[in-house]
Amino acid sequence: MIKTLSVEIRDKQGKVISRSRQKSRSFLRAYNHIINAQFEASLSPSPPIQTKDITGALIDLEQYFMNLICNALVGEDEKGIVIGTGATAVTIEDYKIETPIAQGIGAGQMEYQAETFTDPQVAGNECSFTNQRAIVNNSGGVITVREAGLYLYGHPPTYFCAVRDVLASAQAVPDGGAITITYTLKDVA
Amino acid sequence: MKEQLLYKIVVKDKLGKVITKRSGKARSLLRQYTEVKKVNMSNVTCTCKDTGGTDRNVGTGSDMLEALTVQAAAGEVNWGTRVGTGTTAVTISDYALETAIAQGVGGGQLDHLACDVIPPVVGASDSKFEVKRIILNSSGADVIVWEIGIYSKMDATYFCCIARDVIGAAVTVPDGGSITVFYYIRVAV
Repeated sequence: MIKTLSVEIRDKQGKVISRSRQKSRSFLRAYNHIINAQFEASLSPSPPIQTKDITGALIDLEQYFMNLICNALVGEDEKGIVIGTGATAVTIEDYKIETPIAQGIGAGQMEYQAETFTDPQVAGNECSFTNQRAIVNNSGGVITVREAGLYLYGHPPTYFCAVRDVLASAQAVPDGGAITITYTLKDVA
Repeated sequence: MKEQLLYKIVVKDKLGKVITKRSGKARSLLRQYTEVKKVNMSNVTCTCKDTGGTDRNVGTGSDMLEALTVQAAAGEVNWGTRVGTGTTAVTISDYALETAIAQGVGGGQLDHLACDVIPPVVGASDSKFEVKRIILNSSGADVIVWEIGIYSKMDATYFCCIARDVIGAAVTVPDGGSITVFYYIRVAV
């Protein structure tokens, strides 16, 4: 599976002021471990499949029907696409966004909208779908976004950082404006 | 880095001596893999072909408990690693091995042992896990293998093919011998 990351910035009038696209480099350890848990037929694998959740706690993963879910609702900042201000290079052991931007309208906060998905589409020898989220800045000041990622549900019930990317260039989101992050996930035969 | 699939094949004769080794990048995570994962992530159903070529509505909620299960008991061939005799090039919309070799000890059949899923190993910049299946030839004659793949549960009811590879040159599994197929699912930053 290949990912690309698209970033779009709008001002408070809704006008697009920036668009960029980059290869997403970074499925993390937790993603590989959750897929492993789903591949296993056991609800309590032995030896355990261990990885850290977004709080840093080491979790013994289990196969579960909600694993991988990231269909975040409005205001949810622990599931779905999440953004932050950290710029440290990605490592396979990252378990969260370095400096997440919290949900809210206070200083340094942003308002997370609902996650949306497209249906898988086949074109040539590729099959892809997109996962998108808009995040609005009503904080009263400019917020500079430097990282994005994807938080997924994993069982026992908690959340894991499956993907983290440092943006190719920092993106300033004006007060009243919004940033829209789109991950395209694609398999190629 | 994308999510990668790699494979290794080891063929042994009836004395247990290794007579063929082959490894390479697998080219072919198929559309069913994308589709089932999309359902897992979004919790919204979509259509996916089962291994018989019939369109199925992939369930949501608790129907997805066993989605992507690959680990299989001995003799189980609805899911787990499979081998076959087909040589047609892979396309993203393949929904089964072209000519899967049936379970058994009769002419042209192979005896599938358990399909194991090994917990991930994390390196400096990657995380990967192994899917391994030993398949015995007790058919009374050589069996020639041209293709390999992975079948998984689609949901609680149906099965789908998530990977298929035509290997570069046929491998002959002698009577009394075995073929072991290793798949590695890897992510790296």
